[in-house]
Amino acid sequence: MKKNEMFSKSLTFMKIQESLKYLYKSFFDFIYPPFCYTCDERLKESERLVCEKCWNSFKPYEGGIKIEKKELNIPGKTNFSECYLTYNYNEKTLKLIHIFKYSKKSSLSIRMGKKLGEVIKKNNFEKKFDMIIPVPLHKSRERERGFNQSDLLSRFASSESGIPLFKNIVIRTKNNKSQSQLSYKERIENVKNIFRVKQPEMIKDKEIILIDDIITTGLTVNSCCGELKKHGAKEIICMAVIHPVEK
Amino acid sequence: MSKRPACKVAIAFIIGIIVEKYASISTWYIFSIIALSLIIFFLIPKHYRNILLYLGIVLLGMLRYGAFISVPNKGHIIYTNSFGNWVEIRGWIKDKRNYFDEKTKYTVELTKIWDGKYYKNTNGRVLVNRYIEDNNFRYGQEVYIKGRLLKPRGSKNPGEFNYAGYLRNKGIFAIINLGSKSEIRFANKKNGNWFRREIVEKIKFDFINRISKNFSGQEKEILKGLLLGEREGIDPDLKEQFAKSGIFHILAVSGLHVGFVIFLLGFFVSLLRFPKLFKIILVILGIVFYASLTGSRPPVVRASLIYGIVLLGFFAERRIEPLNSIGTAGLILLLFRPDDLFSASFQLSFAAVSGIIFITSAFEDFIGNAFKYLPKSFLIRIFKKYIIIPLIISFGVILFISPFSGYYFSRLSFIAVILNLIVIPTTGVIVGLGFYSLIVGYFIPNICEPFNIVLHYLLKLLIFIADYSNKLIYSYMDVSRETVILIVIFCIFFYLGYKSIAEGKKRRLLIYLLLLANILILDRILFHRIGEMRIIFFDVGQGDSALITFPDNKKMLIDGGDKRLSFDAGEYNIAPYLKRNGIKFIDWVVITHPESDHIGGIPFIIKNFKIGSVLEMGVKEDSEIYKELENEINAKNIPRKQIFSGMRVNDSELYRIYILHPTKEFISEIYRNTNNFSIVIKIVYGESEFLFTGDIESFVEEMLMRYNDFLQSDVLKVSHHGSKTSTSSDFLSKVKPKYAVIPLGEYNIYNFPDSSVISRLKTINTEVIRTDLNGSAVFTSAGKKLVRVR
Ligand SMILES: [Zn+2]
Repeated sequence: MKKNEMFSKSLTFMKIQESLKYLYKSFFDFIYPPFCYTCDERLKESERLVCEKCWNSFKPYEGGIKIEKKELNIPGKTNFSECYLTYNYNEKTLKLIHIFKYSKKSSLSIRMGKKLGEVIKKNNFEKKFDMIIPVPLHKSRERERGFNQSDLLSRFASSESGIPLFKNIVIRTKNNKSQSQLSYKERIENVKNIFRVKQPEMIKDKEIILIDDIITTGLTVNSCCGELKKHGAKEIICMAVIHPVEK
Repeated sequence: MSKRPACKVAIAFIIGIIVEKYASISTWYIFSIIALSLIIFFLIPKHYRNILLYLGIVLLGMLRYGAFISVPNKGHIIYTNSFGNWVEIRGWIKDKRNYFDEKTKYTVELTKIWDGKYYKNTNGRVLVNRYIEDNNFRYGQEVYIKGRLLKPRGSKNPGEFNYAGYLRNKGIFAIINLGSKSEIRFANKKNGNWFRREIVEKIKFDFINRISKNFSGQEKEILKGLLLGEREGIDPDLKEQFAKSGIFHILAVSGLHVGFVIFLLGFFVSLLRFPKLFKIILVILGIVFYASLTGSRPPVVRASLIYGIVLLGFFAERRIEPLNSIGTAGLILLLFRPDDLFSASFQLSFAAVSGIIFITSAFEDFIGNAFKYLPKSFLIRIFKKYIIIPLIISFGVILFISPFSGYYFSRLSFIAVILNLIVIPTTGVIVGLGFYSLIVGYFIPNICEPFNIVLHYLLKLLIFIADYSNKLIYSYMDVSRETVILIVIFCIFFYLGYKSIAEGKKRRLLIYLLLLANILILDRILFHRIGEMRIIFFDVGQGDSALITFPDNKKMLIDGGDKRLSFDAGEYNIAPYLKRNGIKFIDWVVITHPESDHIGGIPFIIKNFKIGSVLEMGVKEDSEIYKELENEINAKNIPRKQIFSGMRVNDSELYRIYILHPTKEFISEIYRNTNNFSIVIKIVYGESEFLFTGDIESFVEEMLMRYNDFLQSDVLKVSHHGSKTSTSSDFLSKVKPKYAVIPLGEYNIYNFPDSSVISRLKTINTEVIRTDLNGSAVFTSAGKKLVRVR
């Protein structure tokens, strides 16, 4: 008897909770109508920010895309052995990265980080590599933005793949300008000596996955890899979400 | 569900407000329509229900507006019958502003009113004008006031600013001017919100004191305006220069300033090591405090709300649809104050934000593509970031607010597009440095000296820009309302036409062109009626002024109202009408006689418009205002012509302007005052006849009887504001006017119009039009039937 009463009570409570949730959701949907960022279609109940159809359209290969070094624009030798991407570059994926970069949308970073982890697993990297390191932001920059997008991606890539994540091993010592606005010559100068390894003992003879959100010319990751190599890293591969090709 | 639900709902709500404003449908009707709609809602198929839902929102808008404007409770000040009488009131200061000309304006929240026997409870707000500077009393102070209770003036001439409406929007329904016979006493008690009185206002008081100590002249006043919204102390002439340059918006605390403050707060909290949620709360508290520091002016509240919606969206990790966000903001604001929809400030705020949204989305790809082909050098980068993008945004804002500023202020500013690039960052730096100096200076007074010197020069720069730029040619343009409407229509059709060409829909283009042609024809019918004469008798308060537009488009201004302390009929009553109707040239300005209430407004008109010639009868007056008038005439080299009875003014055969009085001989005689020298004019156009009698008294009327039946007129401008010494029965029996217009002011001290004059007019069945009750009177005639328009 008593049990039943409690059950019905909790049922009404649940109903109230349910309708409150519905009210809350409709209120937010009214102010911020839920439409997909990349295709402008209306989102389903379970979807957030980007629709399932779009997510599916992003993935080209199960094992990610390996890009050749010649596709990048690095003068001289590269400091990493391979470079992998999760998504093909197109207008939609570029939009995705832009939104992600300039506003903290954690549901996006979960999704994209997990995808990075899936690529790692498909290639069996979790057996070979010792650690994941995100490309750091300068302290003041990170404070200004409130988060580091590579950190977020790495966190979920790490939890998906099981490779431990190490932040703060390498830091950015110079708050250099955004690469996107510079000419190629300026870019090379811009990324020189901007990273410093704080805990060299941690990376000695280790195999490392370096994660960034976008790889454009590869100059920034290459500079970071160079610093890691200098302090004894054995092998490094780079991973990113996309590689925008300037047409 | 649509992509912008808030916009759709807001539009439906707005339609409701507009319908209710102009149709004033009673609440019970609306309720019954709602009940009916509810029944229909459940009867009709589902997919029609949406329409009904929007209809429901329209009805809600109507209900809300109806409830908002419905008169307040019984004790409210508007129900007193003491308007025009001396009253004794008690209340507390809700708001205090110090004005440029050492004037103080208090908004007093009423608590009690003396009814002759007792203090009765009352409520509502009164604006109290005091003609000395008050730097002591402020928000919350209880006061006792004895003075004459006046109704604020509404828009009583076409084009004139609606002062009563402006005050009503602030909940003010009455005015008391403190003169020599009135009294103001400050009680020892305080009232109002404790937090605002003891915290916000004290900080503000301290800020103002320190600004006054460190700055002087107009720099001080502008800084007070920029930081705290206290812009009333700025010289009106300087304000006008800012307005002409199109950069007045930096003086009025607005969304721009809220943006700066949010930026500063954001920078400040980014230095702190707090959790993120705590930082956001800190920023929000900061904005709320800033808003209350500026007296919660509507533009600040609007901007804070929009920023708040965007911030919440970021926090909730939602996609932010810009238009939908401002739709939400508009809806919330209108729910609280639906009447704001009709305020210029509200419309300008939303036009500016829409302009930014429109232009950034329209040019996003354009900028990206344009810069793709340019080399990526440092200079081009700077050029794009600090010149091109701000220029485009500035252009978008000006593009969207121009129709509104043209419509309300009869002015378009073009130079502002460029000036904004200098002025806005300068303002940002001033706001930043100013607050830094005030806050740090609170703890360490001497440290701010260098900042104050920089501030001083930046403020000087602003004044220089405003002063210099409006003198450039084409920096601004005075436009008539017709021009503004036509430009907007052309822009819309240009956009529609462009779209249909781009989409290859030729038939649609044809339809648009036909529609446009029809609108242009309609415009000719509405604004340029050929062969029409139009006469407006202005309401200039206690004074006299009329403008005649003849069928050949020549204009005659007969007298120009009065000029008193802080009032100029030329500036406030006549010029707005001229500007709104695109009148830049007046062929004849007639000075019937040189009394202040007939010539006071003319100097302003001469200064700001082109004049063909001044017609006068030659008797001068030894007064300040007459000297000013002569100086203006001489300065612009305007030909002066003496006119006497028997002279012709125009050559046109279409219409006649006759001078009936005075004769040349009459001028040589000497009288106590100049009233009887008044020029008397008769205008005849086809079958319509008008008689203007200036301020003549009955003995001149007797002299005029010699014209006999020629005096007969459709409209008589009643002499001497309805004084009993004029408008005799004999004279009226000859004039036999259909309409008699009496120009006079409310609560005038002469007790015009005299009841005997009114009864004399009534006995011959003349319709009496008093400008104090009716506002301006307007007649038109196409040579046959006379039409009273207003
Ligand atoms: Zn999608």
